[in-house]
Amino acid sequence: MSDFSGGQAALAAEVIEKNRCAFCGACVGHCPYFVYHRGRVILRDLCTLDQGRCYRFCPMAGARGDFAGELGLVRRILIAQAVRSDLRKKAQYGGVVSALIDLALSQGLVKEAVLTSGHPERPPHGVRVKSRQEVLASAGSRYAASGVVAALNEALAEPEIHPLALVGLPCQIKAAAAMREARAGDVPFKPRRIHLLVGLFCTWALDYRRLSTYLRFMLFGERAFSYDIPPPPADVFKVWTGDGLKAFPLEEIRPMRLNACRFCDDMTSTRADLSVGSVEGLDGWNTVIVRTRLGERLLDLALEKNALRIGELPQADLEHLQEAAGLKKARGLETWKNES
Amino acid sequence: MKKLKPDPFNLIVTGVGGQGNVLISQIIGRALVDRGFQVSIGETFGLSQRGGSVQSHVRISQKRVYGPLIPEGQAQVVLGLEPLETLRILALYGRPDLKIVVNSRPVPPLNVIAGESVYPSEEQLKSALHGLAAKVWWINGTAAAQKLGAAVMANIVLLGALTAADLIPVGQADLEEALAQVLPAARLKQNLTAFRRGLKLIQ
Amino acid sequence: MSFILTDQPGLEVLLQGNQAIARGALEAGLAWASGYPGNPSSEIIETLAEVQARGRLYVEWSVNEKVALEGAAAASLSGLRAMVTMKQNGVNVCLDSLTTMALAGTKAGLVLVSADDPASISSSNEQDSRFAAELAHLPLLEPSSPQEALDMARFAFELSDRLGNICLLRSVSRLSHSRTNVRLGPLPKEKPRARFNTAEPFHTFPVTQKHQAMYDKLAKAREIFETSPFNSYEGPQSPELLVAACGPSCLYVREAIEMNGLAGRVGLLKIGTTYPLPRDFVLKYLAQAEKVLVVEEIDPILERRLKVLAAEAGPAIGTKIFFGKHSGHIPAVGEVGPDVVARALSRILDHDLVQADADYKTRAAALAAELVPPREFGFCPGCPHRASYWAIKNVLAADDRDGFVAGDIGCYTMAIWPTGFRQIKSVHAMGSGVGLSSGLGKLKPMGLDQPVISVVGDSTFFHAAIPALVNAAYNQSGFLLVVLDNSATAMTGFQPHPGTGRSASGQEIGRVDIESVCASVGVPVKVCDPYDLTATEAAIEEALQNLNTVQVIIMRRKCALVQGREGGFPYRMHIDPKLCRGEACGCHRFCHRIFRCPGIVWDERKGRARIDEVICVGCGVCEQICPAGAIIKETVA
Repeated sequence: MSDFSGGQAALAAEVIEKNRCAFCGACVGHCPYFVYHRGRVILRDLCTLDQGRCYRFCPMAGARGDFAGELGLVRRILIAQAVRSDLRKKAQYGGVVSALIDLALSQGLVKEAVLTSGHPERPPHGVRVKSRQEVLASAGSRYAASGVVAALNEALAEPEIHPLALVGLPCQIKAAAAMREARAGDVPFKPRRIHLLVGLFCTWALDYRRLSTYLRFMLFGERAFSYDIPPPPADVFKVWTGDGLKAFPLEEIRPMRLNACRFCDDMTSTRADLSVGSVEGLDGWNTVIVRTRLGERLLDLALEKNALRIGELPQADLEHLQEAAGLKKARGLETWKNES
Repeated sequence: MKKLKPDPFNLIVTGVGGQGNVLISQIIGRALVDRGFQVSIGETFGLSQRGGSVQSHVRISQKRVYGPLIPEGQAQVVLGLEPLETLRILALYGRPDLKIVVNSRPVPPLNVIAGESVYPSEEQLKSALHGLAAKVWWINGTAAAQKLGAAVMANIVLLGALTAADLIPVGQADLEEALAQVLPAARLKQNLTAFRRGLKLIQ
Repeated sequence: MSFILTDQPGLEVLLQGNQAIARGALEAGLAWASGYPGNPSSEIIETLAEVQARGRLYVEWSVNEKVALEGAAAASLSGLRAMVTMKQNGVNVCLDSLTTMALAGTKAGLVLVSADDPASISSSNEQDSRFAAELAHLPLLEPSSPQEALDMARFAFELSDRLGNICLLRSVSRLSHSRTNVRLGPLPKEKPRARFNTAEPFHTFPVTQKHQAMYDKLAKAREIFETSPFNSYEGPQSPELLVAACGPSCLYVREAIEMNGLAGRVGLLKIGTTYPLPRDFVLKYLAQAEKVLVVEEIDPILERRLKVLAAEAGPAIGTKIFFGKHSGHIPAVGEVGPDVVARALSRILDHDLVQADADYKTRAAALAAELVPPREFGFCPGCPHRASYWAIKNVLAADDRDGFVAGDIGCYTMAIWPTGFRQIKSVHAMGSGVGLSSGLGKLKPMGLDQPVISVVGDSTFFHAAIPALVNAAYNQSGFLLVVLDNSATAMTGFQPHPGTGRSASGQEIGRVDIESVCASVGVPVKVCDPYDLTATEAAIEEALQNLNTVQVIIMRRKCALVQGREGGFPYRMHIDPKLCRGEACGCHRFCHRIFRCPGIVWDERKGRARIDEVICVGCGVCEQICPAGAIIKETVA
């Protein structure tokens, strides 16, 4: 990515046929040739153009981006939690993402936010929200690739001019960041509309289709309400069903990981304005990395409006985070080098 | 009756499926039989109708009924309802003394429309056809038919042009009689108008 | 108008080969005609259907050729002259009944007309139907021209009556679809009354005795053929080369001899009664020449029979050198023509052909190679199949399990090509796609997890798909059966079928609807309009998520050509050049490159797509596919 050096054919050869697609949806919505369907991105028809936005914005194509250290650019790193209990209740950990988006919308920083749909039973997909209810509805981790950037593309294709926010995994944020950096004259959308990028920490994501087949089989048709993969040393995949909580060995879930994740070097969404993850051993709180001036301004606004309460990230946690992120980066770059 | 030279005299009507190629050869055949000629018309249709190339071979004789296929290099006249299809058949059936009446309007193949092949320009086609025939009449039959209200009658307009160019051993009266015999009464008037329009297109 | 019922014996008119066959049958007092549409045979039934009432006969499009033959047999056994028509594949379909009916014998004349398609101009195979003559021990006639087709059709009934057995008449496309001068004969005034004589049962027992009786009938036929006017010889007393030919090949041979000035060296032995061969007649002329070239369409059947005769009569007539398909002088595949014959003559006689101008040929070929692209086949503008396959393509792609389509016979077969987005991955015979899918749907335990979609047309459904559907339901095979119901047997010329509610002569008649058949088999059925791409895709998607048992979706929308005749379409289409993205990233000519309707063309100068108003019929489907919404649909009165 990051230049117009290839088109569909290059994308097919470098990413799709090599099974490295992260199903982020960055290539979906510019044209009719790609679609996002039930957790996957499909190349549906043949386009013979040499250069295109599909290749340009694909986070898995072209050279590996480089970032500083294990965590990328860090202006501040801290812990935080949403003040509002309804946001915290719905959330996986501290509800910080929901609180930040809710704040950005209510303060007019953005008019619309692109999130991943909340329903655990249906295929994950991007949703465009404008209200707190909708933000709440999307709260909670999905753990599967969602093609969310396709929804961002849909918003950008409209003749509106209002600013947008995107919440996404590192690959999704990387694509959106590349789009944000495009020169306005080069592309038919307005890059500056991509105003706020809130990234999530991610070790790996799952293929929705394989997960749903597995769960359908394992739950005997019971409905799943939400999932969780608690941090190590826990080694389970938790599923809340109508029949109560079920836990499956993480080992059984691992084969459903996207192959693309093996090539990923970025655990903490280094291209975002703010990145948000869990805090090891501390329920109800998030780790937050502030990376840009906009991220800084949003955090200050959050404190001013009493949307968040914050605290210091314990040194041990920081070191563990750096270690985990460093391992992922090293593994990802190694795999990329070996299998290119 | 004037002696037919050569005998058999061979005419090919060529075009794209759906242009009414078979109707034209049927009308010509009817006129010829009514004037006492021995006629044999070979038609290609079936799958070729779905947008593919279509040909009718018309064999005219005063001696006997010939086979329905014209031997290589033995077409005296080609009536082309479409220019590409006209050029297409000349390698197999054309000869230096060939006379061609051709409709100028291209019907691009699907593969051309899709950008996978190139349709030759009008100049290229005209130049190629002129180089492969003794005389070429380039007729804008579709435009004339459109002005009369139905582009689909371009084949009848071309038939008129063929007649006026005096290339086949039947004339206007014979063909108008054949039109009346072959077409349903409700459509006759419109088609006669198209036919006569075609007659006028030949200087 | 049509001369088919003109009662003017001696009148000379222009008739198509198929029309001549119809006329000959009428002159023989035909009372029953049935068949299944199949190029190049369809016009025979169509011609007769038009005159059903005035001609006092019954004409039927049956669901398939087997049933058609059985219907014709009913008439014959009841004392009425009957004819059944089909293309070469139809003979395969009715073979079981044909062989047993031949064994049981007939009462009134029964003629089976099979029209073969050399070079497979419109078939899924290139097959010679004449094998049926030897298989079923039936006499076979091969006309060479429409006049002969008329005369032989008439004679075939007399022969069939005399022998008490079916007579085969074999045509080929160049005969069926050629038009020549034909002289009409008289039409009979009276037709007998139908009655099945119960004192005269028709069955095949005792089999060996009846089998022997068939050989006796053949011997009788051979006797009759010895003096038949359909066999003749023209040429020198002792030709250097004897050319034995049957069918329109006779005309090609005659012309090749004439064109190359070989009348003094080559003789033409024209054989019209090709089984059983008139032995004495043939041997008389075989004896006069050392070299024999055999010219016929498709398989070297006449060639082999002549060789057998020659071998048996060897001591009497001497050794012969044969040329034909076995020797490669006539190509084994593709059709015969005057040039094929001329080249064979030239090779055998070492004679220079009257050449077409070689320089002209080279120039013309070079120009064609440079300037003339091929012309691919495609669905008509407005064809519902384009929309159906578009929906199928989209859903299979998004499904991402490498699903595929098993195709069948009809216009919709063209989805093996880009016009149908190359969706079809198998095609064989009528209805075989459903049987194949029934099998594929049972391979899941063996590892085949790809979803299978079987696509058939409405006519095909009634012809042969129902048994396979029952099989699938019974054996619990999981696949999606899509029935493309365009209310017509379109590829062959819009003949009606049980689902259309109209008879061969256009009258309103019983209607068998596909939903009811499926429901009675116990399979879930859904109906949708393929023009509505979203709804159709949703229906297919839903079905693919539930492929444990066979499911049916009927995509119902009349054939575009039929809609055109019935008043046309309600829309006028145009493309807004300001919205059209043209070649740019974001579109790259999606409409005419991928959707590929001939009504959408590319304006090179403007760099925009454009609607070709002469070709576009206004179906409105393309409005749904443009990513920029640039294709505008306007409702017109």
